[in-house]
Amino acid sequence: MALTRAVKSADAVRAAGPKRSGDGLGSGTVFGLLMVAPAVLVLVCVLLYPAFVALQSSFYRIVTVTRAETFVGLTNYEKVLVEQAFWESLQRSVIWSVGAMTTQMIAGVAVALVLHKQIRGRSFVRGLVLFPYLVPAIVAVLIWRWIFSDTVGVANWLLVDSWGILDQPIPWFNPGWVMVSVIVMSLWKYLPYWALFVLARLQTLPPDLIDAAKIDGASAWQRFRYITLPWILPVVIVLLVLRTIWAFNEFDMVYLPAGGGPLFETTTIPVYIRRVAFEFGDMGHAAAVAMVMLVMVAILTNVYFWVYRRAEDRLN
Amino acid sequence: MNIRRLKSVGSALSCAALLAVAAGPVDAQEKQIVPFLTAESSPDSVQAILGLIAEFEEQNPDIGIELQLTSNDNRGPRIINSVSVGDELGIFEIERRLVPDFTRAGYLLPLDSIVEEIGIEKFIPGSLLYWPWDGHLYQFTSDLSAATLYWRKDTFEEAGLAEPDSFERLLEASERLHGQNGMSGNAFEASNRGGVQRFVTFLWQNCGDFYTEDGELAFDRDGTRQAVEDYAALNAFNPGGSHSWGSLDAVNSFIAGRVPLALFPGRLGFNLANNAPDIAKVTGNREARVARGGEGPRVVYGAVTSYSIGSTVRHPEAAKKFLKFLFTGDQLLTYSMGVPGHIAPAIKEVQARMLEQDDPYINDYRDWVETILEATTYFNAEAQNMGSIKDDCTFEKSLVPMPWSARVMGQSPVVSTMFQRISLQDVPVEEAYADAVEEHRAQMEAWKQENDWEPAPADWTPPGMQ
Repeated sequence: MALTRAVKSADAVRAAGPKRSGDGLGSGTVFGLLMVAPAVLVLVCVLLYPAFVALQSSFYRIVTVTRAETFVGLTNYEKVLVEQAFWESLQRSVIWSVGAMTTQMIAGVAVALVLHKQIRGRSFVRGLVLFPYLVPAIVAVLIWRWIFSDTVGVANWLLVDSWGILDQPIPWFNPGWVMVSVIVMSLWKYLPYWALFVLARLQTLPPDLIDAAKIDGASAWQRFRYITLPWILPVVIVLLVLRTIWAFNEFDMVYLPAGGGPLFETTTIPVYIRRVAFEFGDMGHAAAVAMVMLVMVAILTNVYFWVYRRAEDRLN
Repeated sequence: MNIRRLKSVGSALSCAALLAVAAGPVDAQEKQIVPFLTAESSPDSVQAILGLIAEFEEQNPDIGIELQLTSNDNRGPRIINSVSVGDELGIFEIERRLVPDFTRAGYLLPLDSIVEEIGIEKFIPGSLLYWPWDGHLYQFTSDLSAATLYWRKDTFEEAGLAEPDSFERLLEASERLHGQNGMSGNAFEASNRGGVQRFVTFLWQNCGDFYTEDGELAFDRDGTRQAVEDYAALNAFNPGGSHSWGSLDAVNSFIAGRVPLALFPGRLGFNLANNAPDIAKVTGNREARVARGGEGPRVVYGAVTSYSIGSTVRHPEAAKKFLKFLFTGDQLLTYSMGVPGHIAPAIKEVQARMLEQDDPYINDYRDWVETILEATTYFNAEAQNMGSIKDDCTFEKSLVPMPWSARVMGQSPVVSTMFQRISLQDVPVEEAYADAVEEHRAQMEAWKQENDWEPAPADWTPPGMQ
């Protein structure tokens, strides 16, 4: 009955002919606009408006506590581009983002490949893998701080006292190691995100392709290199774009373990922005740093999408 | 029901829900709601506070107190953000470094009337932070904390070491005990979150300081250099990752039996007694004497916890009423007993009553609590009491806050960076110290260029200090 009604409606629409200009918005269009209006409003309020205010603030010296404003033009941007602390923070942001994304991507794909196989208890394991992603960042950091603690941590106890792999404990929060520790924490937390999306893509891979490759004598590595990898590459690239943007903007996973230290080793750009805003008390300068970071992320995003389009074209 | 009708019903329900949320709960509209922001977020403290709120609300059914918790690290930014967005600031725990800007901007209510009602003579001298520039009180003191020295008597006795009452004995113990039985030498850390608080006792007892009361540099004094050398020598015997310690890692290391020496306020003793009673039984707690030969002024690190009332509070009289209720008499005693020793009341008779309580911790460790309470009479705070150590090496508590403390003691304190460079990058002490002197000078001068500031009136004496 419903199908008959739908067909009749479609026939009526066709008989009416194409809409001519001057006909006005149909009730369906108006209803659609009303439905998306809340989402657009939210986007404007929490995204566009704050971005506009930040851009405007970057041209002022703003005392953080009193909000007193003095127009300074491009002075804040000049300060950003010449101060060593900014470039060092940027360097750390790049190290952090590249390190976090590389490890998450490799581990995420590996876990997805394992979960794609027919293994006993697969459903249970898939659910378990999701657990770290559900844990709030502050809880994840607290857990890992305990694991990596130099005095009471289980990591060094296993490595030194229990398994005897090392003679000396690893100073997980010393310079040279602290960024590694932060990357490990982030790997534990965001691995499920990667595994989930790559697994979803893997499940659309036609099994006939794999079977045909096996018949032709392709090894496991060849099947992965020439079939599986090209198939999942578009998803991997999209994840890389999203996760890199998020990692670049990440504050809590980087700041909470060591407060930006020791010796500024975990002071990435977001942590540096906090320092400028609340220690040096200059919101305008902090806004300028944020704007420069926005431009960098936008350029990076365009590069990623160019690579994505190429990958899609090759797959097609 | 067709799709279109379903969508209409859904839209109507969403709008109704939004309106209901906007209207707020019915009882909130009848009561005078006062927000209360605090960083006392340990379970014991929260339990005590909630009980007191319930008692107050029972006595004052027209007033409701909305408890809001924050961390020490995040307190400043949270308050600043609230002010920025025009949020109502009710009763909140304020950092001394924010008071200058907040006072100039008119964000704080004067609280003199509360002290006048209670009687200023009832407070521990120096515990009330009157504002030197206009003589008003914008911060009401809830409690005090002061550091004492905790040491493992059993380990010391076993190694034939004397009680640590001087720098020389601290150093000897650290050297001899480092690496023994899985222990490191001490917990005198150089982390961003705790390094300043551990170091300043050494600084002041060596007659050094950061700045004078007039806002001139004092970090270049000879006493400061000596303190830096001594502390760097002790810092070498820290646990390996101590440079990234959080605020309670020193406590946890002592509780875990990983360090035999720690300088910390009363929280360490309380947590130790509750979590490692066997270690607590063989732990001593004494006044910290950390300069060479145990000499130097009698002063240790401590702090005043204080609460202000925002001028934007909707119900100022209700807020003052609750503030006075919470931090006097039986209520202050209950609040302090949440973590006895760590939260030391600022009112003399409440301190005395604390020691009479039939409480397991007080019963077993009365001597510890007495030591800590006595330390509250000679504590000093780096950001709250600028220039307390005079050129002639006397200690006279100043009530001048350090306006630029966020720059030199914020996320990455200059002294912590200095000690981290010495121990992690093998930078010579003299070089790291010289760089820190210049950094203290540069940050002070940069702040003065950007802000109007004059030294406090020289002839002003705060009430209650006579």
